[in-house]
Amino acid sequence: MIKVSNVTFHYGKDRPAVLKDIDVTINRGQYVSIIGHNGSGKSTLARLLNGLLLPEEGTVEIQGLSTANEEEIWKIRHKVGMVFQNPDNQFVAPTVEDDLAFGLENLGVDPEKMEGRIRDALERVDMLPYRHTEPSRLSGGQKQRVAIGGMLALHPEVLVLDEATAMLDPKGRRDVLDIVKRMNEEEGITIIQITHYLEETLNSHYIYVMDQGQIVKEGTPTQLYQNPDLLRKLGLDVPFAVDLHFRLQNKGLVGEGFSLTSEGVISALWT
Amino acid sequence: MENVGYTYGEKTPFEHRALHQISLHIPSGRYIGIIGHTGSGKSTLIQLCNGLLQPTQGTLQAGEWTLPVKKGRGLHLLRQKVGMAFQYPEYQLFEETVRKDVAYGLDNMDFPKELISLRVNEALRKVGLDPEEIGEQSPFSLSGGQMRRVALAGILVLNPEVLILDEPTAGLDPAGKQQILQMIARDHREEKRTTILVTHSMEDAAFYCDYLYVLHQGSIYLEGEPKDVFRYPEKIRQVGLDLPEITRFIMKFNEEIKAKKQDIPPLPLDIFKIEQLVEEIEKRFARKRGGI
Repeated sequence: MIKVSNVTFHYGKDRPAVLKDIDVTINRGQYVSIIGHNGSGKSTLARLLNGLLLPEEGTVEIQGLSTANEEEIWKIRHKVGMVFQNPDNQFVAPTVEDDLAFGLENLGVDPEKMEGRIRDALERVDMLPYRHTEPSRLSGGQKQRVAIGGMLALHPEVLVLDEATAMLDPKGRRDVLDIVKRMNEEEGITIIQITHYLEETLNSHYIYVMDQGQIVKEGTPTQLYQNPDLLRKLGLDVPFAVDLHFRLQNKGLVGEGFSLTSEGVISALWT
Repeated sequence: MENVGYTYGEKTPFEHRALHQISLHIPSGRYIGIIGHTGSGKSTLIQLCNGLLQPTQGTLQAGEWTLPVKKGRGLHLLRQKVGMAFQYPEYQLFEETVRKDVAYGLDNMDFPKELISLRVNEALRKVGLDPEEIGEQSPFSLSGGQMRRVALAGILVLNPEVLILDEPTAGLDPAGKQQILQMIARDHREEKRTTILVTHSMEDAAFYCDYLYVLHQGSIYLEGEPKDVFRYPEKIRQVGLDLPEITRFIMKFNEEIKAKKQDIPPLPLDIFKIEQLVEEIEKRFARKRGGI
């Protein structure tokens, strides 16, 4: 369980608060999305989850371990893996395999076990054939899959994706999302996904919407998308099918309710 | 471009052919979209357009220039006419104030001082920023979206004949993204500036551009107006891209009509605006209801 209690955060004393009194509890095995426009505080929140940043007020706890405790922070970093936006800033080694080994070495994993863990992690992100490849030769989507693989090799319990698909082409994005979904469904890894793209939140169990450092709305995708006007007001996009359904409803062409997919809109048109 | 090819590190062990046999003709005043997955050659192609790279095969005609030319022969003049905004252009801001940063290019061209100030104000307004309000601020005190707009103003201030944008909205939130794209569309319309947009968003390509090139493995894989390019879902998916959502919806809608054997005319594939889609659906269902 991840427990963020009454957290406030400023970058520098004279600057305005980036996070104000945030309270969030995320249960094990959940797939959670955090959305909000640029500057809403969502990336700061992500960086608090594995102790990259520390709250000024309040506490962040991962399964009872607090990021405020220096001895526990390393344990937390083993549990919480992060994948960032720019795939090019995440590699240190000349080959994919070495890059994964680097992370394991830092953890002091027995070299004899490394081989197996690397192979297993790369297999899970469908990147095993590229184990000897130089990271710079991979596409953006492949790089992000390796970055996720690097985290998986460390056997994390939580994966935080901070706009990890923002720089990818459509296929790269789909591949990464498929893998994330699989990690959640098949392995029970808790997923915390930070994104601008509302379509990407359709897989999640629960969504938090941030604005000006606060959580202004939360709920399941179904609950949230019932209020497209609010999402627009917060500078967010409404998924295409949701938008279309509402527009058709205004014309009296479909009934009450709403659709998350094009198929849903089409079946509503013929009901 | 005629049979243009480009090879990185020619005659070295790292030789890598990025473009093959590209032939294309972009008339002035068009709004062109270039799409393709990562590594398909998009960035190489646009760098050829302003002479940052020169073709290693074939020739490229840009206005009065024919490339390749010997290094340095007036290429800086070509670069003044072909403005290029790289990805994350705000990383290249460096001056103390917004005004100085935008003026940088004109300063280097020995432009008269009084004119510079006017042009800078005009460029800032064009990108939706108030020169009075932010002109004297440090560009680094601005938000990401504002910094991006300052960087674009620094290109527009030179009034280039061609504007090339490499994913100008990467990393912005939906509201910031729409502001930038609408600003570019307005500039294109008002100045009749040839505009070339490199994008991963099929929606934006379809909505804003009047002609598209799809690149794959360094060659032109498909080209045409959006409605023609996005007519072939299989072909598009084969190269790691997808159809715009609205097009996917239209295709599903049309399949549904067929499956139900209903007497409703299919929706045309050249609709890329949701308002227009709603109108067309309304017509069809009004007819259907009228008929019952």
